[in-house]
Amino acid sequence: MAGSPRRHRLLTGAALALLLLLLLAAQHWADDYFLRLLNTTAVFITMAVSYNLINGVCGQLHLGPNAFVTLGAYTAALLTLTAAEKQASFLMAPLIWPLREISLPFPAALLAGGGVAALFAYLTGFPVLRVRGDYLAIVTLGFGEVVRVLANNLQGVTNGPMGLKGLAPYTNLWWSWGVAILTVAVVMGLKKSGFGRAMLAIRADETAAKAMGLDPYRYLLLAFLVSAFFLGVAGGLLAHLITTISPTLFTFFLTFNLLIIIVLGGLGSITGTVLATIIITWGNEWLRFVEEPIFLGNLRLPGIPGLRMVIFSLLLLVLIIFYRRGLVGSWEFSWDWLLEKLQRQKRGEAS
Amino acid sequence: MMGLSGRGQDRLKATVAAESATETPPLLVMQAVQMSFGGLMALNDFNLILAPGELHGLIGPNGAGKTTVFNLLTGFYQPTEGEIRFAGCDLRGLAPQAISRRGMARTFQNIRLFADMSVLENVLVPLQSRSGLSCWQAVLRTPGFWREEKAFWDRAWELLARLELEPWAQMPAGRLPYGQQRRLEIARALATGPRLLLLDEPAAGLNPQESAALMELLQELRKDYHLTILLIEHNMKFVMHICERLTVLDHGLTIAQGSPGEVRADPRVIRAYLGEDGGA
Repeated sequence: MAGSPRRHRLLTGAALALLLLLLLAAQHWADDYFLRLLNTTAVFITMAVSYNLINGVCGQLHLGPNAFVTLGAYTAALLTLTAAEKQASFLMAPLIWPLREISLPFPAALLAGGGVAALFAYLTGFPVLRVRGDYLAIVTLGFGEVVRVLANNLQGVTNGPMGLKGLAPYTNLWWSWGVAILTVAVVMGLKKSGFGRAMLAIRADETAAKAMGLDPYRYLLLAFLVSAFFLGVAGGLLAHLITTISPTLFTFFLTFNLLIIIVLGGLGSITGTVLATIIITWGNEWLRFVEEPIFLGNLRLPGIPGLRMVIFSLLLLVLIIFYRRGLVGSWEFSWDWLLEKLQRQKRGEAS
Repeated sequence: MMGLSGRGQDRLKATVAAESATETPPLLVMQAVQMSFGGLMALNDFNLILAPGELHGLIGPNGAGKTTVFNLLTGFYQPTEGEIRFAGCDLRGLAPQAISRRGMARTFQNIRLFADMSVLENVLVPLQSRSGLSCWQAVLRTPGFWREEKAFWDRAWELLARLELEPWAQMPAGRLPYGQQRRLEIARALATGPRLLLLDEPAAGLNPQESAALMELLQELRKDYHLTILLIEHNMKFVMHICERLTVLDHGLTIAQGSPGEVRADPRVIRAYLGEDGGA
């Protein structure tokens, strides 16, 4: 809160304008592959930042973000498909009544996806937030699996293992980056307020926080709801980016990827999460070569599918052993920091 | 956490009756409070009445049940039996956060600061419990948010100044020197706006000069913030000097209650501290 808020607002506006220009340029000149990568990055920023609100800021080891992504993805997808498309897809069992008829525009479907995820978070919040530590991890892991199994078996709602196909590719740079920026703004806004201080205090020492008059349930539930909402919206974006969803998309692997991102970035740091998301999603593409055959002169080394996952697992191991605080620890970017740094550099040049 | 039940039980009903006859209504009444963990009697038939503005000391050898009294008062334990009334309100069944909001604050024997957060933030946290903002206002940064944030900051700086912690305001609380950590715990407790302040060994680990300064500080804080103070302390010089009345616990039983002079002369107190049970 130090410094002048007006100057900060101006700088933030300028940074957003710059991002807008970059996205415009990408929209014009980039190929489909690059656009897809940019969209994926934004969706993962949304997911990782909202996931970090619970795991990092509140310090609760939550292992079921894939449940909320699944709920958001299915809800949004079922709402944007037209009645005719749904009838064509649901071969094994017809889609249940109200969903059969409804067809909504994309933004409304995204909101509904987030809403359903948040509602689920609210209903499960009561049992989940009664427990802590390993127990919370196990319960949330269980919820993630329950949702996946339901998606696999509720043929009348989700079309089972066949999933939903032929979704309109509504997700473009504006939607994906717009939501990512909104998520960062909301989570950062919460973190840098009394609510965030309360969450950090609960993470540091829950007993002391209670003795200081804070109700942990209230703050954890708030974090849980906000996080679930944005994970749900991200699910909707992901569905309309890939245009085909099935339960296999939302296994524990998704949670694992998000976990690597937030640990790499630094638990509780939104800046770190954004940086780590870019590193991981782009690294994931760059590392494709390890899964393709490699030629060394006459020698042909066959590619090993899945080797990238091995590399990421090793990365996580190295992180946990040597960089437990991640790339930036709990540091957060601020304009004050940047201005101070620039000033110091200028002074250094002058002398 | 020891305490044997079969001991000769001493009832202090007479004292309690005499004290409840005073004119001003007491701030705190603990009546026949009992706390047992399974078969272990941590506190038995405990009675305590605090008049507003009183500075009361709770002493006794290790494991006598002193911290148990604090945990009962602040809602971390629920009494097995007995009654606890604070400012005319029954505390039984209330959660720690609800009791804190009614005006009771505490410090901890083994310092429990929010170690990664700055000294200033440590004092800001308890203020949040009185926030009237919704999360929307905070996220949208409405004028109401800035107003409240400003009021919290002003209050926090005032408390830091009062406890001479200003120079360390931006430092992580965990990196403060020990004495300052103890003072920060008091600042943080005061930020909740308490009427009753519970201090668990505030002078532990302080040198004689620091401990003398703390004595003076507590007297001033009591006057300035209209506090009633209940403190646990092993430092006898400290306790005898600062407290108006004392309660002595041993193995969960109250063995003496009265002015420092009376307590010092009580043969049972002398036995508990120097006798076969070992000292503090």
